[in-house]
Amino acid sequence: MAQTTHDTQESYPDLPDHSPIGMPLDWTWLRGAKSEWGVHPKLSSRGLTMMDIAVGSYGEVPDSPPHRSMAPRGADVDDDTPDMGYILNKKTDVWADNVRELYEEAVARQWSATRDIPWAELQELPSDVEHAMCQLCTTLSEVEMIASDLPAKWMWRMNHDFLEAKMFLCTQIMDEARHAEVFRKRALSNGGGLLKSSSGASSLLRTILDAGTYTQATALLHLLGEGFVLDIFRQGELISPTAVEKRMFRMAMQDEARHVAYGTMHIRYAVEHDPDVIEEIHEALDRGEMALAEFGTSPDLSTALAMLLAGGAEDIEEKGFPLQMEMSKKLFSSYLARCERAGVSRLERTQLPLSLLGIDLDEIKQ
Amino acid sequence: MQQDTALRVDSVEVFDTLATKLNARPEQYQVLGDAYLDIAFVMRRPDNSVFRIRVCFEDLSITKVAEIAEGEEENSDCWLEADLSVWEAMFANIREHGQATGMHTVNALTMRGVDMQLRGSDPMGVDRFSRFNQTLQWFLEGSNYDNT
Repeated sequence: MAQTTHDTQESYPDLPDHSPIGMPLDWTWLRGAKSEWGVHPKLSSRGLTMMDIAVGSYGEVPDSPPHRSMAPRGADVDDDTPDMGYILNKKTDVWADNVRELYEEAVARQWSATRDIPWAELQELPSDVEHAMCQLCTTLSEVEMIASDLPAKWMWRMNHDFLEAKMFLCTQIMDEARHAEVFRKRALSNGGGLLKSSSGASSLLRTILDAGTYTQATALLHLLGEGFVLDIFRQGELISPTAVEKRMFRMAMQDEARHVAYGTMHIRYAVEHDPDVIEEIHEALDRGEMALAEFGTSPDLSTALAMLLAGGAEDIEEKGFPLQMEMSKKLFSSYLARCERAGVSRLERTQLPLSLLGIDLDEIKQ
Repeated sequence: MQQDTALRVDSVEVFDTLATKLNARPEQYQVLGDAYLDIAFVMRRPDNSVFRIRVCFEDLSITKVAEIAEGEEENSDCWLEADLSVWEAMFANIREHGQATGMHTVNALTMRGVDMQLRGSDPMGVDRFSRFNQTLQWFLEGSNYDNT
C-alpha cells in the first residue's frame, strides 16, 4: 500500500487558519493530500531519468484518465479543476512504450546547428552541385517544419496524464526547428541561396496536417513522412560534396530516427490495444503514399537528388538516376518494414509501384 | 600498439583498444549524448571463415566487447557485415585522414548495401544504427589511435 500524506493528518496542529491579512489558508497539502508519499527512485548511471521516476503510482499511466486538467499525473486533484478540453483521452491515442526512453535520448543528444557543424570548412563548389544542394536544402527546410506544426496542432488536445508523450513531442518540435535552421543556413552559407518551392511538397504537408485523428496524423508524419526524410538524411553520405554536409545530414538523421521510432511504436501500441484503428491508419496511408510518391518524384527534388548522387551534371544519366532508383528501393523497403513492425502491414494494400522499384516482398516479410 | 602493425582489424584486440579509448575519454562523447546501442561487426575473411564481434554502448561508455559465435549477431540491435577487405580499407582510411572520408563512413558503406550490409532482426533495432550513428562513427574513428 502506498504511503500518503494522510500520515501527517494530525501533525502541525498549531498552524494558522488565516494569513496576516485575513486570507483563508489551505494546509491540506501538508496534512493529508491523497497522493503517494515517500517515493525513493533509484538513480541510474547517467543521473535521474524519467524511467527512474516512473515508480509506484507515478509510473502508472491510466488507459482512460479520470481528469481533463493539467494536474500532474499522481497529484491529489481538486474535484472542481476545470476541463481543459482535451480530446485525446485514451492512452492508445498517443502512447508508445519507448516514449520515456526516447525523451531522455532526445534531451541527451541535442546539438547546435551553430556550433556543431564545421561551417568554416565549407568550400566553393561547382555551380551545378551548389545549386543542387541549395535546392535540396530549400525543400528540406520547407518540409521539416511540418514535424513541428503537426505535434503542436495536437499536443494541447492531449490529456496531461500522457505527459511523457507530450514531452517527447516537445523535443521533436525543437529538433525540427533545428533542422529547418541547419538547412536554411546551408543554403545561405556558401554563395548560393534558396531556390524553388514546388506545389508537391505543400500537397504532402497539407495531407499530413489535415489528418482527421492524431493516430492518422502520426502514421502519416512519423511512419511515412519522417521515414522518407530519414532515408534522405541517410543518403546524405552519398550526396554530400564536403564534410560539412556529411555532418549536417548525420546529425539530423539521428534526430529523425528517434521520431520514426516513436511513430512506429505508437502505431504498434494503438493497433495492439485498439485493433479497430487499423483501418483508419490504412486509409490515411493510402492517401499519404500517393502524396509522398508525388512529392518524391517532383521534378525539382528528384533532379536535385540525382545531381548530387551523380556528383554533378556530367554523370547524371549514367550514375545519378540509377543510384536514385537504388535509393528509392531502399527507402520504400524501409518504410514497408516499419509498417510491418508497427502492425500495419501494407504489403497487400499499398499502391506504390513495388515491382517497378524492384522491391522483394518476401525479403520484407522476413 | 604501433600503428604500422595495427591493421589486423579482425581481432578482439582492435575493438578492445577502441573501447578503452572511448572509456578513457567519455567527455569527448558528451557533446553527442548518451548512446544505447548493441551492435555486432561481422567480417568475412578470404578463407571463408568469419570474425564476429559484439560491442555494447551504454551511457557514455562501452560496456561490452566480445567475440561471438555464428548467429549470435542476431541478438544485437543490428549488425554490420562486410568482407574483411572492406573493413581494412575503412580503418586504413581513418588512419590516413584522422576520420573516415568519402564513402568510408559506416553510414555511407551501408547505404547502398553493396560493400557493407546493415542488418537486423527488427526494424527498430536497425533504426538504432541511425539514432546513434555519430557516436558509432566516432568510436570507429578512435582507430586513428596513438600510443597514449
